[in-house]
Amino acid sequence: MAETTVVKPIRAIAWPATDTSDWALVQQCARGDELACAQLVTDHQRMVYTLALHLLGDAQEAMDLSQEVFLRVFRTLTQFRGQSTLRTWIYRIVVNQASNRQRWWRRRHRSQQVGLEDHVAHHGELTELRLFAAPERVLEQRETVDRVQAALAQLPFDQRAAIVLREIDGLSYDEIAEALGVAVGTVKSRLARARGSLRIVLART
Amino acid sequence: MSRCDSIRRDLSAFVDGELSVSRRPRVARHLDQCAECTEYMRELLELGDHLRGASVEREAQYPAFDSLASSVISRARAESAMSWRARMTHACDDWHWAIVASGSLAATFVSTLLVSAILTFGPAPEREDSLSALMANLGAPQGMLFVCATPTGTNQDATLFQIENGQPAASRMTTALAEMVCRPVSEADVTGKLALAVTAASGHAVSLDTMHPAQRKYIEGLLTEIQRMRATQFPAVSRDLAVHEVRLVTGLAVVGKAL
Repeated sequence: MAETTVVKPIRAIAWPATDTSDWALVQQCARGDELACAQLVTDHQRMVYTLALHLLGDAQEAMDLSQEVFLRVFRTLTQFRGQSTLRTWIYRIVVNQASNRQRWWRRRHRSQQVGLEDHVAHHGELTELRLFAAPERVLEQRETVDRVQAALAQLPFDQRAAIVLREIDGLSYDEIAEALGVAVGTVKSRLARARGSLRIVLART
Repeated sequence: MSRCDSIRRDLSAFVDGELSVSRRPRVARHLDQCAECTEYMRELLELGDHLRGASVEREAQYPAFDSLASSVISRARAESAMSWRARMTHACDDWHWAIVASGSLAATFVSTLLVSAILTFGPAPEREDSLSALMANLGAPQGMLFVCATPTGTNQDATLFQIENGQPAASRMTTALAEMVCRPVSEADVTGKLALAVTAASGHAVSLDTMHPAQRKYIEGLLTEIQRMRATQFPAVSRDLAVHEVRLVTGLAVVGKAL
């Protein structure tokens, strides 16, 4: 009987998710303390840049987006009530900004876009994938990075965001749901689909 | 759907340790028996390693973040300091708002001008029987002006005066009324005049309907006078005139205002 006992977390009781040091930092920033603002940027810049880089795939774009994200954070800091952690709240801003930017980019360059299938038909398999397809060869680290990035770039934005937040940032499903603004069940299915697609792309021979 | 497919749907959450406690034993039992699904799980774990490994490699190529904080803060500072100017510039960049603003200003200016012009140069909305209209008539006569007044202090009846305003003297029938009230006349005199007026040469009474409008007006005036004589009593207190009525007679139509 003991095996069938299910312990479920109680969601009705919500304690403030933000820890005290983060909350104090937010309060100082909201008052316009520039040192505190600089501290907030320094504390989170690597995390923001990493997510931006994985979502957009371009270093310069990622740096621009990081600036935009922190500006947005400071503009909307008064709306932060501490229901989620500061980190999750910033992740959410990164995802939203990256999504907007990508939508804008896609609209602007729709006419110039070429589908992956068309590209392969005209130019043969992508370089990264060809390299991955030769397991006997010792791949250089740079090639591995490009290969993974290319595989990630082929995923739909929502799945890419979910897999990056899980595998690289190590967020729990609850935190990912918070950052993406979706239900935990959706996170679960997006991750399963993303992993299925990545496995196929990276194993393609 | 095979059992393996159903298990693999849960495998992603299983490797993350996020699968519900109730479903874990089923997946674990299946993995013990199925080599393919175990391989699948190994690939999923390897995939995570690949992603994290690539990310770590990539971090080595990260640019220096030295200037990020300072540039963000200076942009935020500039944004808050220049917010009004920025908003104005933005509004002017988008000419839409500038056009709306100048259009509404111009519309307000034109309508103010129009209303002012109408108020200044337009016709004064004035009642023709108002006191100021009567006073204006003295300067630019449009008819004969009579004043009915009582010399107080005597027993005289009310007297009708014609005011000199440039108009010719009143016609015979009009002045007959004036003479009648100017001189103290008895009720019998007026009654006699009325009897003469309503009696034809044949000795029969003339119907009011067949009379000439001027004749009829005269008779109505006589009747009014008789009525007034019978109804009014004037106390004799002083010699001042007590004005009862001002009448403006244009032709035979009378417009007036009681004072």
